[in-house]
Amino acid sequence: MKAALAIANRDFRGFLGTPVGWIAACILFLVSGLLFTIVTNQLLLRGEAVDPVADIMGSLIGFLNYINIFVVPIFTMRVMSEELAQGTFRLQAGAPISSGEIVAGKFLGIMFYFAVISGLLLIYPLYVAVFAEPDFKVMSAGFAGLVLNIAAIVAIGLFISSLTQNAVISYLGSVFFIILFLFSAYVKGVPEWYQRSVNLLDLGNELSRGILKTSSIAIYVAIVAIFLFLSRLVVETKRWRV
Amino acid sequence: MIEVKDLVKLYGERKVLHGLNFSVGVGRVCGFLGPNGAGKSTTMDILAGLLGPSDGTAKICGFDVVTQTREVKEVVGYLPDNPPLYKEMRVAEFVHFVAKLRGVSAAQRKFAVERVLNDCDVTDVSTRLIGNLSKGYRQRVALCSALVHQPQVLILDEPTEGLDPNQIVHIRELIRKLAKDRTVILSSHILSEVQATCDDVIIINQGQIAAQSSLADVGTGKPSIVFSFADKLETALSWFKEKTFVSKAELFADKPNSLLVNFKDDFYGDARTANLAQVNSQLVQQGFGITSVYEHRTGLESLFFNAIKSQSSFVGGQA
Repeated sequence: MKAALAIANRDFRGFLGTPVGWIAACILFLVSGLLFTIVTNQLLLRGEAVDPVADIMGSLIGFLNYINIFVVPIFTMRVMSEELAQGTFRLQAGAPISSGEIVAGKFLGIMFYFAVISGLLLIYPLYVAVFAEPDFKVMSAGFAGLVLNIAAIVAIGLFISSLTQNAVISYLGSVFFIILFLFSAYVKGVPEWYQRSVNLLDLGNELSRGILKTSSIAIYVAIVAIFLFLSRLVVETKRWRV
Repeated sequence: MIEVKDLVKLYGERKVLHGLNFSVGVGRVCGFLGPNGAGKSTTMDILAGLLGPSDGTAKICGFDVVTQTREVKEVVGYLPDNPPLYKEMRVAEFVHFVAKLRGVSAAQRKFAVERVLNDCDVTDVSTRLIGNLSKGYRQRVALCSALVHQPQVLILDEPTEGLDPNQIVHIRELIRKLAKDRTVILSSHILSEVQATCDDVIIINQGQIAAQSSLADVGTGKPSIVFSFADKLETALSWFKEKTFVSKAELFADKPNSLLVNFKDDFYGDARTANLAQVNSQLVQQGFGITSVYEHRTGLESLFFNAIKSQSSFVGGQA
């Protein structure tokens, strides 16, 4: 586990030591800031009663969940595909650590980064709290949903990017796969449990309305576990081929 | 300690290693020589546990590279031909990270990193970004990362590549120093480098061992003497062939108007110089016009070329 934390720590610093981390953060803050201003203004101009949680934070988090489908794979492509292409993967592959530790480290590294970003996004609820009295329980559920969605996308992205050395293919492949994954809920005839499980955006919205169910959490945990396990398998085979 | 038995590697249909057999003992530096694409890096990858062999076994310190990969990775320090470096990291930070990955305990890490930075002579750039360093410095930083956990077995793929002559000497000394209680295997295509650094040499060509020798045995044999003449080469040749102290005399292919002469064992001894002077004066008395006389040693170079030539003609003969 020490090695996993060492990898996570290195990757996390790596994001902040290169423009990638800062640009991605800029995109997220620019989009969320614009959206926050527009939504708030529109609602206030309309002069109706505003529910700060459902109307403002709900739409903000819902939109961020969309955006993350395109932002998160920027990180997953870096930690796997680029390392495979540049040969730095050999450093981990040649160390006396398990493939599980490598995957866990990569996963945690990206999660550390997004934990910081999500933490900074808390400025919006704090701002709302100055002017209204939002329900913090509901808002926390929404933020939990944001982080869980990121975790699911990171796990899927890690798996896709471990398959290829080409960062562009990795990025496009991850985005494409995640969209397919979400859309597979709408295929005719799929069982209901499946429909519910893969529709991460709906789950995220549900959470942002404060509907926190054990089953939703279980779905996220299962998705992360399945894709991390698949990544581990790929990494294990790659270790014999680099 | 490295033991390799019948090692075979297939890339799809292409066979790159045709059953290698060798072993390297503790305290020995073994040089891996061979032309590009001979299978040097493939063998080293297998020894470092980064590549699965198709057949055969390889053991490092008694651990099998396939079944005990983790133990192998613990005792091996590997410098691949394209060293893995994070360009956005600083030198000391990077070596620290590798030490952590390698399981160097927190208490020893600081000391281990400082020692290895010092050994590889990169202390002066320890706070600089790896991406901004010159090739020679990068190579030495990579060497640091291979050495930081004090491995028992060192596998170095072209360790002095990109270094200037001064640094090459320094790294050679470092390798010799490290080899005292370790096993080192290094690849190179610079013959003089292997001659200067290694105890043993393995020449590998087209996935097979073409020659294997201790360097102490290379080039210490009885030297042949090359005699060059102004004229009457044929007469001189028959003159040598008649002498009882000559074991072999022939035309020397590498130099015109010259003969390559081997003398019998008792010719070389303490009286070697006197003997040679006597032969020279006899030749002069006979009226031969000698233009030069020198010793011709069969060194690593000829071992290398002969091994590769004989093997390629062998392979060609098969085809």
